Amino acid sequence: MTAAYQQDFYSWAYDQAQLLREKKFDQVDWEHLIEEVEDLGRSEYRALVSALEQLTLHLLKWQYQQALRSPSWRHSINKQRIKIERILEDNPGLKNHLDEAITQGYKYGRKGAIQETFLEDKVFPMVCPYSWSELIDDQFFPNSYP
Amino acid sequence: MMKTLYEQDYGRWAEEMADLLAQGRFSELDIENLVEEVRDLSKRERDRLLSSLRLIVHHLLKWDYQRDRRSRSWQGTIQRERANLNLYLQDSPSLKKYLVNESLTKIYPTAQADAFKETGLEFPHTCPYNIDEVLNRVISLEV
Repeated sequence: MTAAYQQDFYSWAYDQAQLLREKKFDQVDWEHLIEEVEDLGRSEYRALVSALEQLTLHLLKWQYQQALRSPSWRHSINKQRIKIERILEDNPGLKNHLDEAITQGYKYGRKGAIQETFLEDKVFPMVCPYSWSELIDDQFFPNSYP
Repeated sequence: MMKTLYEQDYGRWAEEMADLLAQGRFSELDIENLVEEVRDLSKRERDRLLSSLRLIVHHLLKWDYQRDRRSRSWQGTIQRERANLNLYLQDSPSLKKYLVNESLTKIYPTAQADAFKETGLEFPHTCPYNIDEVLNRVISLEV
């Protein structure tokens, strides 16, 4: 008897791995296994969106709060760029979904910037003001606004 | 061929595996890597449990060895990680087997190193707490 997905995830995953290894395909819990494997792929896309969110958040702060610029912001920007590079290296296929990922990431990056800077909403563009090549350019740090 | 896809594009590999599974095309599966990934799902559950234990011990050390610096933030970390442990156990009751003193032996070197990095203090070489204290000792600023 193998563990149920809802009741004990740890044992469930352990059991499923064992069943696959032994090629006991008729006993595998397909429904949930497919969900989990799909999720493995989706989590890479989510990681890309999340890195873009953090990157645009800090680029906006950099651009709109010049007086508060700090090495820690620069560090955050560099860190997210490296992360994005790594995710795309592991998943080149995600390059086909960049526009979508930027739109989603920027939406929340902008929200975060509004909260963290206490500036008015209308200060920040609704659409990501940075091009893809700017986003991933190590040397790109936006000039002050305006 | 599948194997190279796993190395070349992890996201596409996962999509491809999910499709093959959904279509019942078992013979085409990249079983070796698939087994690894599913094993990792369970390992990840165990690792987050151990990581909570590590954080609790790390903060208990600070709490006990820097009494004059006790703060709501340390207390909060301990409470939060105890609550997290309960959530993990709800998802996976069988993880309970890792709530034993042997797990503390495993995580202690890292907890101790983290506490040392932050305080510069010398801590005992073996974990001074048993599992019951880690999970249940009352942590209060008033005592």
